[in-house]
Amino acid sequence: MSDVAEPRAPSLVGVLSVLFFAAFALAGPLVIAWEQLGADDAAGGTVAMAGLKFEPGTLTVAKGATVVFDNDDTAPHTVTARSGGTDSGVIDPGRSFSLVASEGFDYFCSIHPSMTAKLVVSG
Amino acid sequence: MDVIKFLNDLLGGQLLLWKVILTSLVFTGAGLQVLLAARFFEASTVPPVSTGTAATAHRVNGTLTLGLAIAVAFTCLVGPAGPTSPTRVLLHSIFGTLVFVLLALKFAVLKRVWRTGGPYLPWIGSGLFLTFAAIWATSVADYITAG
Repeated sequence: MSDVAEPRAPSLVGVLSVLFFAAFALAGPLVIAWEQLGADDAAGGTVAMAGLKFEPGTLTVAKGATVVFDNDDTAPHTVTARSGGTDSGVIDPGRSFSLVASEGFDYFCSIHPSMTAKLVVSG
Repeated sequence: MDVIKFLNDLLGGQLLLWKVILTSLVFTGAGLQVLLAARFFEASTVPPVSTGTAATAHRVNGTLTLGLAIAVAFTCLVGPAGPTSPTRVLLHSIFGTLVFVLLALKFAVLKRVWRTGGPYLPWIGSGLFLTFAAIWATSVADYITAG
């Protein structure tokens, strides 16, 4: 009979809690990879709305190209041309708006006017 | 099902504001965790409570802070996560990932999955606080300064 106590084995709950946090740690990079692969398929005509900003701030596309505006933010936004004409209406988080680029324009979010960006049409 | 839209509607269209509030609470809670840990490791006399009380408070505050952190992280992962620009967003994603790596390590020690990790707990805890600070700086600070 030994005087030294056997070290207790980790409990199932303990192992599961470690796996839970490890899964959260992996989720971020996996989501980013998934989104980035999707962005490649979009051929560059995509504007992301995230962190109360349009990204990129200036997007140049060929005339006739489709431009997709993805609301990746947690707040609703709009794509509203300063000169009038184009207005997406409210784009809720997780939703998109697209248009066929016929001419360039400066635009902003009518809900968060500090969000401004520019679409440039070449050719 | 659009989870973000559901949550946003549930919170009266103020999901972003709630995330700002909860992220600030998590940052504050993480700071308190460091103070309480320093107290029950007898490395500090602040806050002026017994080491036993500090240990209990550390556990309760840690559980609450962790619950809030998981809730905020969930709304990030199912909503805006994905873009790697601007740099602030990329850094926020990196720190968000790092915080869960550190939490996995911490729980590996606490739950005896990593038996020899005990001496690293103060470093892991300090790292958690600094990472939560970086998460706050790359999200809430930008929200505030953006007006």
